[in-house]
Amino acid sequence: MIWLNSIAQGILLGGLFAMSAVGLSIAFGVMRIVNLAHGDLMTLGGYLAFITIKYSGMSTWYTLIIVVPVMAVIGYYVQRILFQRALRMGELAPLMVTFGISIIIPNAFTQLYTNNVQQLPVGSLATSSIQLNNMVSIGTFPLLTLCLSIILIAALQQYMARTKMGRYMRAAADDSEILRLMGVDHRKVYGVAMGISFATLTLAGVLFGMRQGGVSPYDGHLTVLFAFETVIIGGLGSLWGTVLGGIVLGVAQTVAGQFSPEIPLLVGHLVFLGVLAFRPNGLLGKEALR
Amino acid sequence: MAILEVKNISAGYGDLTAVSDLSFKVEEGELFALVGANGAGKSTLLKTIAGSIRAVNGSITFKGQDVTKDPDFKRSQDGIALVPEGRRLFHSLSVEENLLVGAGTNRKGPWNLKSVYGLLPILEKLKDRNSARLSGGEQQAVAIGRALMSNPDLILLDEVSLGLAPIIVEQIYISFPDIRKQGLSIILVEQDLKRTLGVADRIGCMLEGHLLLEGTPANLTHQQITDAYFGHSVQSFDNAPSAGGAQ
Repeated sequence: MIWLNSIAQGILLGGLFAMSAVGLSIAFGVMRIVNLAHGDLMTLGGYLAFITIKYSGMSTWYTLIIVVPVMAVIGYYVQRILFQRALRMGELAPLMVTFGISIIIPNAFTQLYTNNVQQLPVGSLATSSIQLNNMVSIGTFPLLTLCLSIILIAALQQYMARTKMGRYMRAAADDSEILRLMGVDHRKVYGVAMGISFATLTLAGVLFGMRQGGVSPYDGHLTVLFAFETVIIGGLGSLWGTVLGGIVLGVAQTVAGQFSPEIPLLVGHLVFLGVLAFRPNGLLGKEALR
Repeated sequence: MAILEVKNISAGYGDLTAVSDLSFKVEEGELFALVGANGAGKSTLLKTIAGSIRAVNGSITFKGQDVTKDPDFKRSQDGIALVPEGRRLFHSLSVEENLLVGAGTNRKGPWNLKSVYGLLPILEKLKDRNSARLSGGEQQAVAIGRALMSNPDLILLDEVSLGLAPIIVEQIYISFPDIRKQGLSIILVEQDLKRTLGVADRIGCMLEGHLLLEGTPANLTHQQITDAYFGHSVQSFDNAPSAGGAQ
């Protein structure tokens, strides 16, 4: 029963991993940008929520209504102004730019708000749970995260499949040179894709902060790792793959935690390495076309 | 009036010059065919006109406007469509989605899903098929349909028959008059000389990045074209300068 409980907790944790990985998957899938700052941008989202709470006193949930759209707009312009220029300079340049951002963000917040954890209160949801039996209980907040994550990914899937912009994004992923020859300004398409990436990572960043009780400057160094592992385990370019990848990683971590509190991260990394070694395209990844 | 005027254009890849100091005009509604051996610079020339490659020198005037500095997507919005060599379909999209992306310019005109399906009925049957799972001929039909969806004024067709069964090439060529009915101008790059002579209003023969010979199928002899094609010393030209020192 104790195993069943830890598997259940792992699945719930996987929802959060999936949510944080989706934006990484889009940035790489559409623009071929490996966003090393992904985790630190999640931290930035967490801090923006914290700052909003500090100055308005609203609850953490409501800050999402402000913070997520703001970050989406920031994402659009970061792509247009920063990443687009970097892309013109070759494959390595965007990597360096995102690496730079990943250094700036934690250092800036250390300067502004010290190294201490800044609270992101969840309210009464923090402790409420659904007791399935005497061993298995599902936390309301983690369950909510998993549901949000699945809704988000289903919505993105539909957006990609049915809208004009989604079509352009998939076409850009296939062959951006030809997309331009169809009269589509690829820079706008890239901007919107990065906006979506920023919006989803912000949602994940704030929820991650809520789960941890708050946000601190160097959280991103861990979350970026989880996001990368989730994407690789699930399979690059597959949105549902990120859900599966997140759940595999989450379960690996929580089950390992039953053996010893010191090994969850290690086991998570080992599972990731195992997938990389035996299924390099990920569990749901497509065969590499190029 | 010339719809396209290319003046002293040079273009290439890095240090390699594939097109050098080349000039020609395409009249409105005309089918201008470019022939030449592999590596003569035909595809590079088309890409330069479409804007995929920037010209190093010279100017490109389209519908009276200088478009030399315009990016590729702007030229497409202005009405230049390229059917690229090797088709280059969007492989994770279905046939119909490929066509819809082709309409990305939002230009108005006779071409939409319905009329493209009317012209190329094979596409309607395949519309939900993933474009990676098509035969070469079917892919070529999608590529042509996709270019028409942008309602272009000038369409650049690069090696439409390359690697395709003759019967499919025949079907594609049969659709040409219907396409041209709308007053569309075409630049056609083709290896098959006989077919080219059959459809072209005018022919240009390229060799090593230069336009060596230009004329109508009526006033060029087959011998002249093959000479230019293979770069023989062009003995058959009436007005050829004496090839001093050539063997």
